[in-house]
Amino acid sequence: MKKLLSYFIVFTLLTFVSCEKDSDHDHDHDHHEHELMTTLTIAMTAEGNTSSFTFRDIDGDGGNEPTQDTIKLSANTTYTNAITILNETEEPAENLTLEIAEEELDHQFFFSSNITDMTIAYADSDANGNPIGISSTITTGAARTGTFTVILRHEPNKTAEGVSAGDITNAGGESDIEVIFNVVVE
Amino acid sequence: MQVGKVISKLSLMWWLNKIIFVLIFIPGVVWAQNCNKNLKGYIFDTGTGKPLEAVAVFVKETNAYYATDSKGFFISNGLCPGHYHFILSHVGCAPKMLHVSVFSDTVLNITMDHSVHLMHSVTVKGHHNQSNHKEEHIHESEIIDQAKETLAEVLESLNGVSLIKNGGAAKPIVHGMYGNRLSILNNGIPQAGQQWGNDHAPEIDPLSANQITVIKGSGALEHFGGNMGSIILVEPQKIKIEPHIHGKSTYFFESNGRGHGLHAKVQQHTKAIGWRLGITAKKRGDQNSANYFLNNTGSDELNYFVQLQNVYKDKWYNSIYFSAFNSTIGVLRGAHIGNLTDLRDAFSREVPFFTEPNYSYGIEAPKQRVNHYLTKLRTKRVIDSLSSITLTAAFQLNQRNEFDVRRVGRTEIPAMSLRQYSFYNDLKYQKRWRENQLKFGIQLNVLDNTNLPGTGILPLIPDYLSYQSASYFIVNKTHGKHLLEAGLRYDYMYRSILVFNADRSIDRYLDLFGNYSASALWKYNASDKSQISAGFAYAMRPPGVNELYSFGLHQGVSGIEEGDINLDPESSFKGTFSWEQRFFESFYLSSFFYAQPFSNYIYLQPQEEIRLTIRGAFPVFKYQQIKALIYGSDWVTGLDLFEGANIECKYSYIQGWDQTNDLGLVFIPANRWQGSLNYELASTLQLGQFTFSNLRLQLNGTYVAKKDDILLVQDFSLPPDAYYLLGAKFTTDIELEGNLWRIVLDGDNLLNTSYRDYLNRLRYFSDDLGRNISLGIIFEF
Repeated sequence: MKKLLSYFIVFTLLTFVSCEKDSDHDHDHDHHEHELMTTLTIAMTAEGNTSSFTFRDIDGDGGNEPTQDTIKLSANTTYTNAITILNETEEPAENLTLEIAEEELDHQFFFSSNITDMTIAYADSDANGNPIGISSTITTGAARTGTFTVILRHEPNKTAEGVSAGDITNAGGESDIEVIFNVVVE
Repeated sequence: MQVGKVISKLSLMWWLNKIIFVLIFIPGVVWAQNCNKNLKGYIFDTGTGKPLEAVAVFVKETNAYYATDSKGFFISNGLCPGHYHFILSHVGCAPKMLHVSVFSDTVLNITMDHSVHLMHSVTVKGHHNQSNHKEEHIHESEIIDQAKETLAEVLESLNGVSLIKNGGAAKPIVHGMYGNRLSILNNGIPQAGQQWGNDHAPEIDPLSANQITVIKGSGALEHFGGNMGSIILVEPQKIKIEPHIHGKSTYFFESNGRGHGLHAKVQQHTKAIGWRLGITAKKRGDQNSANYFLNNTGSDELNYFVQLQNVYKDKWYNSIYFSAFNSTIGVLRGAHIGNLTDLRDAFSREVPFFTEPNYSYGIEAPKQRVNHYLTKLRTKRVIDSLSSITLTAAFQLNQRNEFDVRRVGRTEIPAMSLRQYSFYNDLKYQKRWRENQLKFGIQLNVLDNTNLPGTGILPLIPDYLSYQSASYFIVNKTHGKHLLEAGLRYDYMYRSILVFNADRSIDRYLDLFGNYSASALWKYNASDKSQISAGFAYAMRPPGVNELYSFGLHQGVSGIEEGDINLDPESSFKGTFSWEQRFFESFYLSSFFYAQPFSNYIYLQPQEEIRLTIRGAFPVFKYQQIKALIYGSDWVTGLDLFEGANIECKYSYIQGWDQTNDLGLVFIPANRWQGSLNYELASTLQLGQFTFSNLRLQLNGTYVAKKDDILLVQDFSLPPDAYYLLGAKFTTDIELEGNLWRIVLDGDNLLNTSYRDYLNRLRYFSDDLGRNISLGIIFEF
């Protein structure tokens, strides 16, 4: 009986050896996001002039509010667009556009706008001849304001009806990016 | 079959062989053996205590048959000293195999469990139960009949138990309590897994247990962590003294998911030591709903356990138990979404995205892989016939890896990787004197939870180390037909926390909580047909780590979840009342009422705020504390129609109310009605060499009502419509040349109804499971 009790006491004491959660490992391999997308930039070029518009959410999902630019375009102009996605929590910032280009078959950008006379077209294609959307063109019409939505889908069904023409309805997959810019066409 | 003693010619031949064998190989030993021993037996019904007439008693070694008379009596004369195996079978009972050593005239008192096949008929048992609280049991034979099911699915057969599911991963919810509020004890050890997530199933193989018990009500204070309400006990039984190796093996096939499973359990108890080994392997591919495949919903499991026991000097009862649970569960591919727009898209679809007409056994991301190991040492020191001390020490390791669909090969890297060590130590003293009993105990539980680095994703749950120590004191007193019990418990928790922030900084927190629980119970055994009990309990629960510290996007539920470090412990009163009554021999009624008001009830409340991220806008959920009330009742009624036929109805009613905001509580099950019509053949059937007994046919139906108290502001979509499912089951025991077989043919959702269930997260994306036909073959040796 005494043995039992002494065992219990010894065991109990032993388990109290360390009373604080140790954090040695997190200095070696830190817990942070390796594939976090923090920044989306669209560089729009017309007649040799390039303007860049950025959506930036530096602290990731949740946390502080993101910052975003208003897209300013000239009326009746065609722009060629190049999208860059960065993880700016890394030092130096990691260019995730490269990962998307590498997995071109599994990614597609979708663009939409409530400005009816603005047309958007893909300017690139993957190995199967389907669009990716890293490069695209925008042709503006009359001066007005509205919104411009950029969605990046991971593992969409690119062969589903309308998807390669830029219609997201049947695409499926999951959204890695969904950003709505305000647009001023002047 | 004949009444009385019959020794067939066959058995004479067998004896001749045996004698020749003995003469040749063991000369000089057996000459003096006198084959004049008598074995007398009395067989009783466990439930009613009455003698069982016409029990067929088969002696394997002598090939002789006997039958009991009206006093439940049989006699086997002229036995030689040695070991014998008896197989007892009786209409309505599970066949029982019994080992007896006969070295002198022996008298046996045997009980047979009638209720096993007659479902959960109410048997008012008196004090046989482990606790005085309202208990419902699932016996080994029922567990094996449902070998295809997970622990939670096995539990669902009990009234008042529902499932919270994410497709293949299911966890039980009892009277509205789940996760951190529901304690599951495996082998008496508090299951240390990831309790906080609704897609975290308990890491226990139900086939390792001989009995699963739900203690309803509140105040079973000797069990660690379960003071908020009901407790689930998963228990292997003691190994019976039996010098030969015996066991059971089971194979099953199920049509939905084309699943196969094998389970085997063997055991032996020599003079020195008893051992039991068990292994379970299951593999299932994509399941299907009524109309389409649910791609990537396969699962596999490989579990095993070892149990050892021995008695030292008649005073020390020692046991060692080790078990391993390994499972991989696929999550419906179409349920993996990136943001709220995707979720809304998913709602609008008849058939989920990624649905293909191809069946596959493969499990791709998203999936979860879980490994759980338990080692337990227990020793019980019997001081005298009335008191004992039990010491238990246990170690658990839980590893959980969850895989998401990710870019450039990172799909192979878990998106969440948690490792949890836990130590549990328990000292318990029990003493009886006259009509009284006292229990006193000290418990210590240490948990070390670590997010393994290298996932490349910020952990939702922090790292933590917690020490929880507790002591309790319970007394009970029997006074005539009354029983009174009172208990007190104190829990102290020390918890050290490390929170990882997105900017790579680390926040440290320290939690200290001290909680009291108290309970009182009165039970009145009015007669062997009537029992009433009432209980009252108060309990506190410290907030869980997820409730305090989780922060970030929970992509699986498309929401940003925020803990609150200022949460207080939640506390509740619980009142229960139960009444069980058998009217006229042929009708019984069992009812259970409960009401549980909470103050500081912690739950995830949707906020009006929508937060913008690069992935789109997400709704924000915060852990909030409210005043809440959960109440309900469970009903079981049964009516015997005529010999062998009965009808049983179960109804489970539950309501949960957020009194602070005057809203329904989320994650409270819908009301459920279950009915079954059973017919059991009163006699055995002889077909050639095969003897069929306990032939039983069941037709069953389940109706789940629509929850109407949840508003659209509380959830992404309204609760789904009511549904009705039809099932059927056929079982029979088969005896062939002294071997026992059993066949179980089971059909679920026979009408292939398409439906969605409120507590299954997949309801946002797809229909629930379609028709499933399964076949189980059980062999006892």
